[in-house]
This record gives sequence, C-alpha cells and structure tokens, in this order.
Amino acid sequence: MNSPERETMQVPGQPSVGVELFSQNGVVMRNQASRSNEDVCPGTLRIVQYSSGKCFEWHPAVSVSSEEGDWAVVSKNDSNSDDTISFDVTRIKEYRVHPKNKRKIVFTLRDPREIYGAVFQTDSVDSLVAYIRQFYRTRRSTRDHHTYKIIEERTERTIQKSFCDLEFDFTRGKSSNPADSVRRLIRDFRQKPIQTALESAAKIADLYRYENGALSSETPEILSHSEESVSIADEYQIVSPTIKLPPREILSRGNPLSYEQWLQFHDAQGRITNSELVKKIIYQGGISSKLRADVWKYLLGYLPWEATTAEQIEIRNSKEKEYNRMKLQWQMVTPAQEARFSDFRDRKSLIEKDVNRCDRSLDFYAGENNSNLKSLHNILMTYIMYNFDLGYVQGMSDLLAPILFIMNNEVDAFWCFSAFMDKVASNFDVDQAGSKRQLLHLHELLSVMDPKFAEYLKNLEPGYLFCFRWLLVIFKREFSYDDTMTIWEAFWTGIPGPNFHLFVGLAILDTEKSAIMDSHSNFAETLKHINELAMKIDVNSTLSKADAIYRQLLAAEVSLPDPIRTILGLEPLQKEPNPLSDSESDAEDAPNSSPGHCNNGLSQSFNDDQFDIDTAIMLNYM
Amino acid sequence: MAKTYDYLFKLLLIGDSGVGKTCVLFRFSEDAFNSTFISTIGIDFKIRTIDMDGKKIKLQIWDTAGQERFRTITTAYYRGAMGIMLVYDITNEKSFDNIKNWIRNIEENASADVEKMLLGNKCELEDRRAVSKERGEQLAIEYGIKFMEISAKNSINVEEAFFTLARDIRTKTEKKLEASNPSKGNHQLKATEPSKKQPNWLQRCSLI
Ligand SMILES: Nc1nc2c(ncn2[C@@H]2O[C@H](COP(=O)(O)OP(=O)(O)O)[C@@H](O)[C@H]2O)c(=O)[nH]1
Ligand SMILES: [Mg+2]
Repeated sequence: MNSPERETMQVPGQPSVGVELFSQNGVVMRNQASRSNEDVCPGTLRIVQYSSGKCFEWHPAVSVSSEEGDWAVVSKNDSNSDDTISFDVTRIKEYRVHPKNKRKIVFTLRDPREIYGAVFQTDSVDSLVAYIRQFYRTRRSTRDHHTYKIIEERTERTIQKSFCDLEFDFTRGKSSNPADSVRRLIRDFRQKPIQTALESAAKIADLYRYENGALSSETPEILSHSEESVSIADEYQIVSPTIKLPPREILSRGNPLSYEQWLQFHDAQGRITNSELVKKIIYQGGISSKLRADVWKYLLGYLPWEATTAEQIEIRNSKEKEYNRMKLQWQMVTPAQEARFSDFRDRKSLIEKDVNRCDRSLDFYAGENNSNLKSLHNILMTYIMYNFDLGYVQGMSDLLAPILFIMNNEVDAFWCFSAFMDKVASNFDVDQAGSKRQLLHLHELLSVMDPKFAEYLKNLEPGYLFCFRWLLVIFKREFSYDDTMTIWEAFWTGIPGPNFHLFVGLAILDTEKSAIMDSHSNFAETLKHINELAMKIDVNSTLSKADAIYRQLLAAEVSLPDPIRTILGLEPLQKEPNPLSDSESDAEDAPNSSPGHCNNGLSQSFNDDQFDIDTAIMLNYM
Repeated sequence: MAKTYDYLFKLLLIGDSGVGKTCVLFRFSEDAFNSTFISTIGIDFKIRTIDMDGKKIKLQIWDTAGQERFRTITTAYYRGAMGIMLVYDITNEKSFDNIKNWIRNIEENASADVEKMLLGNKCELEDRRAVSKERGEQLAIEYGIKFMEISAKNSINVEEAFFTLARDIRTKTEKKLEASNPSKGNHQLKATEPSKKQPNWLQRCSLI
C-alpha cells in the first residue's frame, strides 16, 4: 500500500464532513439487542473523525459514499439511516473480542438497547482493537477477561507528544508535525497493525513513566495494551511489551570467600556476625573450596547463622539421631515386606541404577565397591523415608553427588541435600508442572530481554525443552564440579532474588544467540548445540552476565508486568483481582485510585484461559 | 551444501530407566560400550548414516529419560518419530511387563503408522535372565512387531536391529511414495518426502 494516507478535509461550516480513520470491508454488523436473526449482508465498518468526535459507521454492501483517488470523504448525511449503523465512540461502554474467534467483536453501548456484534469476514479484529486502544484508555473487566471498558479518550497532549516520540517522523519524513505522525501511524496500523500497536503502546507507556518520574497508576494498564494486542493475533503467544531496559552493566566477579574472611565473621561464641555480607561475598565470588563444607551448612540453612558453637554441636547431634532413625526404617524392611511393597521396590531399584551411573568418572565415585556409592545410596534411600510423597526422581542423585563430595559425611550431606531439595522441589513434581513453569518463566524473561530471540526459540517445536536439563539439576550437567558448586552457591544466597538460576540460563542463551539464530537452527540442532556446550561454558563470565541481566531487569522494575516482577522476587504492583468484586464498581474506578483496585491486565492475560503453560512453551505434542 | 543422504529417518528409543537405551545407542553410533555412563536427563539424540542397497539413510536417533515422572516431557518427542525401539532388560521382569504401558504411550502420542520393534537388551547375562526369549517373541507377535534380543555390552544384534527397523521404514515410505506419485517412479524419491506430515523442525532438519 503505497498510496498517501487519507487526509483530513477541512471544510469550513460543514461539520458533518469527516475523515475516515479506519475502514474495513467485509464486515457483518447488527444490533443484537433489537433485531432478531434476520440476515445481514456484509458491509464496511469505518471510524470517522468528525469535528464533534469519532464515530463508528457501518454501511451495508460496497457503496462508498464518495471516494476520489486517495481521498475518502464521508458525509454523515448521505447514508441511508435504515440500513446503516452509526454511533459515537463515546457511547461505547465496553467491547468484547470473542475469545475463540478473533474475527468477532461485540460493542455494548451505554444504552442497553444497543449491542452491536460485528464479524470480520476476512481479517481478525486486531487492527480495529489496536486502533481503539491507541485513542482510548480501556480497562479489562475483572469479571470477564475478554471484555474491555472504554474509560476515556486519551488526551491530545499525550497522543501528540508520544507520537513525536514514535520515531516515525525521523525515518519517514522531514516534518515532525503531530498531525503527520498520526497519519503515518494510521498507515502503519493498516500495514502492520500488531507491530505498530506494540511499538506505539510501549512508547506511550515510556512517555508516561518518564514524564511522571515515578510509576503512574495507569502504566500497567497501558502496557497491557501492547501485550494484549499481540495475544489477540495469536492466542498462545505471550510477548512482553517492548520494555526499554537500561544498558547492561557487567561487573567482574569477586574473590571467593577466604578462610581469613570467614574467621573474621565469627564472634567469640562461634556465631556468624554478618551473614548478609557473607552471602554477598559468596554471590560475587563463591567460596574457597576448603571452606565449602563449613559454609554450605549455613548457606543451606542446616545450621542457623546465629548458632553458637555449643548450639551447633547440639543441632548436629539431634540431626544425626534423626537421620539414623530414618535410615533404620528402610534398613529394617525385610525381603518379605519388600516383596509386597512394589512402590518401595521400584524406588529402591531406581536408586540402585542411578547410583551406579552417577559421576563414576570422578575419583570420588570411581571403581566398584566404592564406599561413597554406598553413602549415595543410603542418603537417597533415607530421603525416601524423609519425603515419602516425592520419593526418588532421576536428577536427585545429581544434586546429591557434589554435596556428598564436599561433606564427605552421610549425615551432613543428607541434611544439606534435603535443604537443597526444598529449594528445587517443584522440579520434581509428578506432572512436571514445576519444570514447565520454569521453562515458561525462562521464555517470559527472554521476551523482555530479547523479544526476537524469545520468539525464535518459542517457535522451535517443542519449544524451550532443550533447556530442561539445565533447570532440572541446576546446571550440574553443564559445568565441572567446581563450577557447578560456584553456581549453586550463588543460587543459594538468594541474591539478587529467588530465581537466579533462570538468569544463568538467560546468560547462556544470550551468549549462544548468534550461534543459534544465525544458523537458523531447528530444534534438533539447537538441542545438540546446547547439549554440546557441556563443560565448555565459562562460569565466571556466565555468572557476571546473569547478574548483569538480573540488575538490568530490576532497574526497569516499574515497567515490568507483574508476572515478571514475581519471577524477580518483587512484590506485584497490583493485588490479584478479587473474583467477587462488583463489576460495576470497577468500571467507574478512577484512574488514580489505589493500586489495589487497578486493572491487572498483564497478569490476568498471563493467566488467561486462552493461555496455558504447555502452549506457551509449545509443548504441542503433550 | 550437497545432501549427503537419500533419506532421513527419525527414530526413538523408549523403555524403563536402566534397560540400557543409552548404551544401545552408544554402541550403534560409536561402536563402544561404557559401563560408567551417566543417566539420561531430558533428551538427546545421535546421528548415524548407514548404507542400504546403495542408498544413504541418515538415522537421527532420540534417546529419552525412562522414569515415569518425565513422561510428559518425553512424549513431546513421539510424534515426529518414524520408528520406535521398545527396549526392556531381559534380567528385569518389571521392565518387560512395562512394555505394554510403553506401547499404550506410543498409541496415544506417536503417529499411527510408526514402525515399532521390541528389543530385549543385556542378552549376554544368561545367568541372570528373568524373561525368556519365548515370552519376548510372544509379546512381539501379539503386537505384530519384530523382536530381537540384543546386547549393547557384547555388541550382539545391535546393528541388525537398527538396520531391520530402518529397512521397514524405508519399505513403507517407498510404498507410500509410489502410491501417491506413481508416474515418477522410483528414481525421484526425496528424503524430505516422509517429513511432509512431520513437524517443521524435522522438515528443516532434512535440508541440512
Ligand atoms: N550387562 C549389560 N549391561 C548393560 C547393557 N546395556 C546397558 N547396560 C548397563 O545397564 C545400565 C543402564 O544403562 P543405560 O544405557 O544408562 O540405561 P537407560 O536408562 O535405558 O539409558 C548401565 O549400568 C549399563 O552399564 C548390556 O548389554 N549388558
Ligand atoms: Mg539413558
């Protein structure tokens, strides 16, 4: 479409002449409130700007009132009022896009006798919705996620200012007259409605943010536009709004926690005086290897930081008794009992198989009749008695082996392992929901960091599954023992938030982006590439990058949607909508009411019924 | 880049954890056995291109984790498969009993015309045998599929098993091609042809 856009025709004294802002042929429209099922032929739906305001107009058949060249001048009077539909946009109370059919939209007017249903015969209603959202503030209804209430027209100032920031001006013309920008924007909407809506909405959001300094209460609502306009186009697509992130600031890693430092943190009674500082040192540089056995017990919560030496001994003794009691439980199962206890038998046999193939190339676990293998086995068997619901799942031996290697003692290794398991228990969910959720989170984070790459990976069938191994055993298969421990230590500190391991994944993906995208790798090639990175990834630069990405997102905190904030360990900006809340009151909610009452657009759409985790990571075969 | 093969077949190894799937694959792709192998997490695949009657057949063989827990993850790989090896351990009764569950899994997740084959691994461990060869044969007959006892460790029948499965897939594929395209005859066969119905990653894969 190279024709110049349709322009305003200023006819003094003729207020009824307007300019067409939007036009769509092949639209069937009727008033569902008044007419019964009579046949309606397709027509043209337009939005026309009059001096009095914007108006929706629908004319049956193809007759265009008057069209000359690239001009479309529509007069309010020359339509046959019986067959046409016409209403001011301000009369619209709400609209609803059909959740399953993206070509259906219903406009409910403030007058209950007018409910207009429109079916687009050829296109989705995306461009129309994007258009509406560009010019009107809308709010998703808390009662029905597919319904949007029209709150008010965006002010001239906001639109013009933000349009100037949209960069269309700089790339496509000398003039930066806001009116020109609007026209270009409209053209862009016609040509690539989704992208345009995304860009624009994001930029408007930026404008709000940076103008107001702090977060405006409507920011999330505006952000939700861009997200939603995409998800309308593709119902299982989740693309975060194009959020501007500050530059990534890579800090070099620090030195590992040293023996001298560690000593200094002890008071006379053996308490650790400044655990926050200890954690910070560990997050930035790890722990020198001789100290690991000692420090890990605190880091994992087996010993409290504030326990005196005497208390530590006491705790240690009672934990030893508890371990031995549980160990005795499975050791006392007789062969006859076992024969009638298939669940126990299955778990035991799985453990035996996995112990036999766990890190056997490492001296510590090499050779037959290795007593450390016996310890591995004992701990995993005892864990069955400790956590009968979970039992044994493959991958757990990978989490235990380095811990036993460091502790070199069954009791300490058991309790440190069980503390680690508490942190990653969801990885081992029966239905793998935890793993799937994490793959989804990885995608959501990447969508903020690098939307193009995220989109690329999402489209690999079956999606992000090539990262499954990373997350299941927290990178243990990708790094040497020493490097794995450094990653785990950083993860255990809980700095800078609960999901640091996902950022390690993001960092690796970021590093491998060109290897994957430039070669147009398909799923198999990507999986191969990722699997073959094992033992070749530099741990320090990866951790530095992971940290930098985390801080980069934290710095953009206010512009992040709640689901992303939650992954980062931040409080959501809005509370979950109360399902019992009165739908009438939310319609009248003032934009500056308390955040608790604000629209929760993004997190809702993330939890939308149109969207589930499987489709998001494209596990379409499951 | 010139194509270095005439066909690309995607195969899948399934069966209980510990029956020796990874070792079987390692034997076939590297002709080696390593008893200190690490357990499989998630999925991986290996490639080997074989010669069959003057045609080069590239086998992309996917290896999966066996534990029940990971089934929702591993079944994601079923649908593109053209051949599936069902592996049990002849010293482990339970792994044999579970074959029927794996078959059900295939029926639910793989394409209906996928070629299947039953393999009883570790057959060199005669003194620890828990499943007789006859029972294996009987089960295979029940499902109308081929059966072999193999040993990854002693390299018994591993080559034969993969060649047999590959040949059956090839025969089926060529029949289908002739039926759908009788005028062109045999010389026009395309490696990408079977992937028509496959997900696009496999299609792209066959264009490497
Ligand atoms: N004796 C014997 N052991 C085998 C054979 N194949 C595999 N194994 C052993 O069986 C165990 C499990 O093998 P693996 O390939 O990891 O099983 P997977 O879980 O099915 O992949 C390992 O300890 C192997 O050494 C075989 O042919 N003979
Ligand atoms: Mg395996």
